[in-house]
Amino acid sequence: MSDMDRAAAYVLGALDADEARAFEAELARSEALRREVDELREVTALLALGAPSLPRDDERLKARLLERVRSAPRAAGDESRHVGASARPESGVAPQRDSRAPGARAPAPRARDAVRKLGWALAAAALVGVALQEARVRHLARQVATAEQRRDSVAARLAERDTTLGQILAPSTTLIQLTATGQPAPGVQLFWNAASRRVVLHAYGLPPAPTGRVYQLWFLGAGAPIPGGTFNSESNGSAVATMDGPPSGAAFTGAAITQEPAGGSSAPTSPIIVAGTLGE
Amino acid sequence: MSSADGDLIARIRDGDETAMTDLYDRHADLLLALAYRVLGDRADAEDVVLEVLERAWRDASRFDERRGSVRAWLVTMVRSRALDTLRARGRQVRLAESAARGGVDAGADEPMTGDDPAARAEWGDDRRVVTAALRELPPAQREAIELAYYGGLSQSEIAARLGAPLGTVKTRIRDGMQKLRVALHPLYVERRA
Repeated sequence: MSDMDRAAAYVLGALDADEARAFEAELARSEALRREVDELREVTALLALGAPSLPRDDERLKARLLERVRSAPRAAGDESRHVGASARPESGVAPQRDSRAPGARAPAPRARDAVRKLGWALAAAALVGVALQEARVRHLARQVATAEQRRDSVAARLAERDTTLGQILAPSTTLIQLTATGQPAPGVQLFWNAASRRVVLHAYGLPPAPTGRVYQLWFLGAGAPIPGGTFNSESNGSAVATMDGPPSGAAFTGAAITQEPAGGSSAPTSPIIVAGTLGE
Repeated sequence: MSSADGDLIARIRDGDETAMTDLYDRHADLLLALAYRVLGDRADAEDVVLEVLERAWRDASRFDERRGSVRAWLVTMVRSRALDTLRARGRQVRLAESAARGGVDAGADEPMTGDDPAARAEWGDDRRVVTAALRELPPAQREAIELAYYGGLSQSEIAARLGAPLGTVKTRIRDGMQKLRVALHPLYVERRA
């Protein structure tokens, strides 16, 4: 399977650990793959609608929410605080790339709060607690400093296969060197409905055809290629199009895509970009 | 991203607490349903959702709408957190079974969306589309996807559970997700940019 094929399992968190690490290393190199993951994440989010609703007490929950919000520290764009604490890979599911590991981020601000609230007038035992809290804060601060140094050496980090996604994709390092390598090969999937004789085409990694040009689908069989519909991809390289299949009675065993003048051609005029056979 | 969600994030960044109850109204139905489906426990599901919403409040400045919708952001965090809780409890196996059995139907046509009528109409429609798309998947593909999605199982674990070859499970997940992506494409494309 290609990395594009693995993207769905990655977004579902279903890749095994070693596979997920390899995928994340590739993810760091490929903007096209990141877009694929972003898009699949939207699909995955919609799947939550497959879970049945349950009745709930909105007023009580909103009150609890406001209580939490009022006592919560705000991030206020302070990115560095979180870098060191977000290192744990988490079920292969990166929310957005800069917002990983819920819960893992809480200790630093909470520890500081605790130090502040304890104040001076406490018993000796509590002061020991304060000291421990402060040690914890210092430890976290060191982790942050280390993480920041690491973040500064992008190339070195990319060489580390075990570097976690949260670090690789830290906001400030995002695209500096990562887009330079080649795009993955384009892929096209056809969903052929023999009953309705309609085709749903889905393409990814396919750069938009230039002005005046389109992509065209061809049905391949014993004779000359049978022209199918035309389409173009979006700026992110993806396309979804629904089109007619070949006339009934025309057998076909495969399909191919070429680039053609706008409006399409009756016979291919350019080399095949992708081709495949029916029924895998 | 829907402009309603975009406005909410802007208000949250400004420290407007009332935006949080609006965010709740727009998303709590979906988030709670998901957390409950994973965890099977209402109190735990509520805790996960409140924790994630609080985190959205804290981290709103880092939300990047170019990478995806607010909904995807919240759902991904809830799912991740819920699966962590599930694993911590060691109840993965039993709940994964219930996820596989549970299917997609019960109550799916009756969204209990909060006080936002626009969200109710919009997502009631979405729910019907998603439910239909899941129903139309070949059962083997749906089963594999649901075991991963609600049960947090890896492809190898799914293969072991079903007694199916790993390659078969990988193909089911890939093909099933691609079908869902085509079927659901209009729902996420029109809401963004």
